[in-house]
Amino acid sequence: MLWRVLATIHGHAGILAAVALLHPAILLRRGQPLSRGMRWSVGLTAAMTSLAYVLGIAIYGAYRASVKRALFTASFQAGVLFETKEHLAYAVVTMTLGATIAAFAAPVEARGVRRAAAFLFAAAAVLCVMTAGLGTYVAAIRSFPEP
Amino acid sequence: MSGPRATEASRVMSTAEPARVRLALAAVGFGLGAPLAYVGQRVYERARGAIVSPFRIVRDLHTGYFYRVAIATFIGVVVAVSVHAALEVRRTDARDVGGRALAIVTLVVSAVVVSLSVGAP
Repeated sequence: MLWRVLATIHGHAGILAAVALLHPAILLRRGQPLSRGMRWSVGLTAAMTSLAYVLGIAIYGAYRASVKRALFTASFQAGVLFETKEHLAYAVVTMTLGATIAAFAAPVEARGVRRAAAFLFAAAAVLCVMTAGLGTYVAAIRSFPEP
Repeated sequence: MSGPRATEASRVMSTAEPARVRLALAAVGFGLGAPLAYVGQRVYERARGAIVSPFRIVRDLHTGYFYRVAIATFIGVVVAVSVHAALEVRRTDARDVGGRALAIVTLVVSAVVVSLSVGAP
């Protein structure tokens, strides 16, 4: 029951992260200095993305023990896509953390740095949409059993 | 670096707080370096012969993933430190370039050696 709840939270956090990553990408695209709202946007996006990733790592042990075998039995393709999702997730979280630190650290005059951060956020958003899509597809085939 | 971009970067470095600009660009370096390092390890694994048997994938303890993540993060940090140091050297004393370059190259080479030895099951 606990693992199913955590997996559900992980999935929802991942989809929220995919949507949230677009916000700082749009806000920072012109390199404007961070307002208070933009700071909240960047910070919460990093927090949501990190939460999704950490939850995914946390539930992996139980997932491997109780779901992964059944997933590969049901569909080899889906099992391989689950592996792909993990690779993409790492790229998403590192790009997001790098962009977040860059956005917060850049002084007011450094517009180009914030544009670079916006590019990283946009790339992370694209990869996160792919990750969330793959995760949803895999979960539709096999997930933690209902209690 | 030359041309208008170099001029803009120099102007920003001279007027903005240099330490914060260096930190921000180092973070961008990490954001690009770490995923690329991960991709590099995956390409190496595929070239060396990836696991294709579902039985072996299911039995795999995920150790390889954590190794890849740790190595990619390490290389990302090395890239960030390199960017930070390179920008600092441009502004300060060029006599330290040799020592810093040697330290950075040593770190990168050691990371590559580690990734080549444990990067694939």
